[in-house]
Amino acid sequence: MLAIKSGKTVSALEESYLQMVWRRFKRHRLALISLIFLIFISLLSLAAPLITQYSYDQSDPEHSMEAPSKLHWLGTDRIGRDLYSRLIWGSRISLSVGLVAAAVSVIVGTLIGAAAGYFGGVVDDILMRFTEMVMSFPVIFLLLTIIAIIDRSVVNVMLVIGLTSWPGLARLVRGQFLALREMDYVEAARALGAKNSRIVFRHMLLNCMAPIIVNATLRVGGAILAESSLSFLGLGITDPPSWGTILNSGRHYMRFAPWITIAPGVMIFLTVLAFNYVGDGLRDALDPHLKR
Amino acid sequence: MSTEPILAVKKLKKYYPLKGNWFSGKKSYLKAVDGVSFDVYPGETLGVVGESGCGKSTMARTILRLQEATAGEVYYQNYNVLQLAPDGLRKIRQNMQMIFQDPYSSLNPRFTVEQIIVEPLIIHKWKTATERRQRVEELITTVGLTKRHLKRYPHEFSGGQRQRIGIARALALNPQLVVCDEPVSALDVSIQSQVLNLLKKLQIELALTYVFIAHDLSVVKHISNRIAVMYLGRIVEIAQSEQLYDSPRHPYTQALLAAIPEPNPRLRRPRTLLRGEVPSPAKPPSGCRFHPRCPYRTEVCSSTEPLPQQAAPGHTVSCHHYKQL
Repeated sequence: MLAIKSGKTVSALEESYLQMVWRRFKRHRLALISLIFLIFISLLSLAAPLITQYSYDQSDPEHSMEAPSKLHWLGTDRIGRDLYSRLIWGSRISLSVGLVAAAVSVIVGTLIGAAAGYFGGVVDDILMRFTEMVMSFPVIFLLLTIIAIIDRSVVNVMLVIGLTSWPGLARLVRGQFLALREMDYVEAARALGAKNSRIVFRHMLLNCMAPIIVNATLRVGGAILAESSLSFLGLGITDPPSWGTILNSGRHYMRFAPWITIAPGVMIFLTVLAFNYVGDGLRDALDPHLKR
Repeated sequence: MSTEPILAVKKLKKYYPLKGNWFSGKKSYLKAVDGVSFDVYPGETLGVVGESGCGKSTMARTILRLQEATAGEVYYQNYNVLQLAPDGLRKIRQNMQMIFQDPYSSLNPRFTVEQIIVEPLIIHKWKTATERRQRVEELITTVGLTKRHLKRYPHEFSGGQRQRIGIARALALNPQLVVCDEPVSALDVSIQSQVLNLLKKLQIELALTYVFIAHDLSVVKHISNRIAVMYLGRIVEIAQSEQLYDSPRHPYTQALLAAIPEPNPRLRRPRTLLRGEVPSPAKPPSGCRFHPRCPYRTEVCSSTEPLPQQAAPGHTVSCHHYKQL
């Protein structure tokens, strides 16, 4: 009994923070499966040229709207393009738009929230009123307008989605900072002569990484969904096509060729769901109040 | 003890603005510290006692400029602390450090003990990594922990050990003055004396000067040379420790002393119980701030503010009737 106990405590002490997070994350089954699924999808999209035998825009009118077969695993679309190839190539667009847009949104949201929470007063007032303004825009309408005006490139879509989705995170980070500002260790750092930048980045940001990471993960799913909506409305990325674009291209033929919409629909659904589960799992794993 | 004070506080005030009346535009203030003056001499310990909410902690934070003062002056040696520009302040802070009350919130939970103690050295650009490492190892043994503890995180330690880590961090830059803000009141009684003894030992070895804040006279008695008693943002009595314990002149000090539990029942003194609550510092009573709770009050107490008067050499008291008490 004593031997077991001492053995266990020693290993618990030597476990690093990341090891602990990983151990707790693994207990969340769905999150683990989701993570594996996401890694799998990412690998497929990276390996796109190796695992597709058709190009995503090679049309073959003689084989238009064919049901899934040995030749075309997921069937073909109206002008006979191979849906499997389009889907794999499309995953590159959808995933990268999701990741980059989420990163933009997290960086902007964190900086604005941190500045508002740390400095308080007038800075806080101005930044938060601005945040509320951005929040109360009808986002889809704004996206449509902006995309209609500017060039519809991948980078622009990423930026537009990222720059309209940060307010929630800004509020979250501001709240965390307001609480952290009162902590004695922040005051201690100031008493030691630390500059603002050191206090903000080394002390405060480090201590609210957990909610930011969780939020960032959920945000990737949200960004994929936003891009799909844009594409579905015909304002998305067409070359190579994103999942939303493929979905859009099949919407008129849903009755006789449902595979054109089902395949990208399922991919969007599963990927967004997986990001949400991973976010959930991370929330549980990073929450210091839960039992280790 | 030399005669030049290391720290001189003059008429220090810290007011917090309260939400004023929006219509009349009248602003009211919470007067947390309201005109506090005292000197601290090199090598001594000045104890500061008072009930919760009397402004002790605010005073400490204002002296170190963790909060900006509303009025008054603070001199550290010849430097006017409250007027220093950020760079000058950063330099002065090497000499003036603070030990915090709550050892659970004063250490960054994401830092290892080593990162916590080395931080002041990095901020003040101590030369090389090896020198810093050496200093950290020296510090951790000075406060009674071992090198093995350096790789661990604060949550793996007990309250007393955490307070030792906080002490090591405060001492890293060889400060001369250390403000201890109730350093033991969050600890178990059995641990309190260990930490107090450590602080005493360090004071002798490193020639430190302490401003030691507590709400408990029995803790302060052990460590202080002089004691200041605070009530509602003012110092009501300040004297050498023995003097204060043997012949307290202010009725508030007498009540505080009477409240110390006496283990020997034969020695129990008749108690002067204080009635009522501490009034709100947003609306301090007129005249002497203590008069609503004072058993000896007369008319003059509610109308005129008592000035600090010398009751004996080094013994100052702010009470109209101190001669009779």
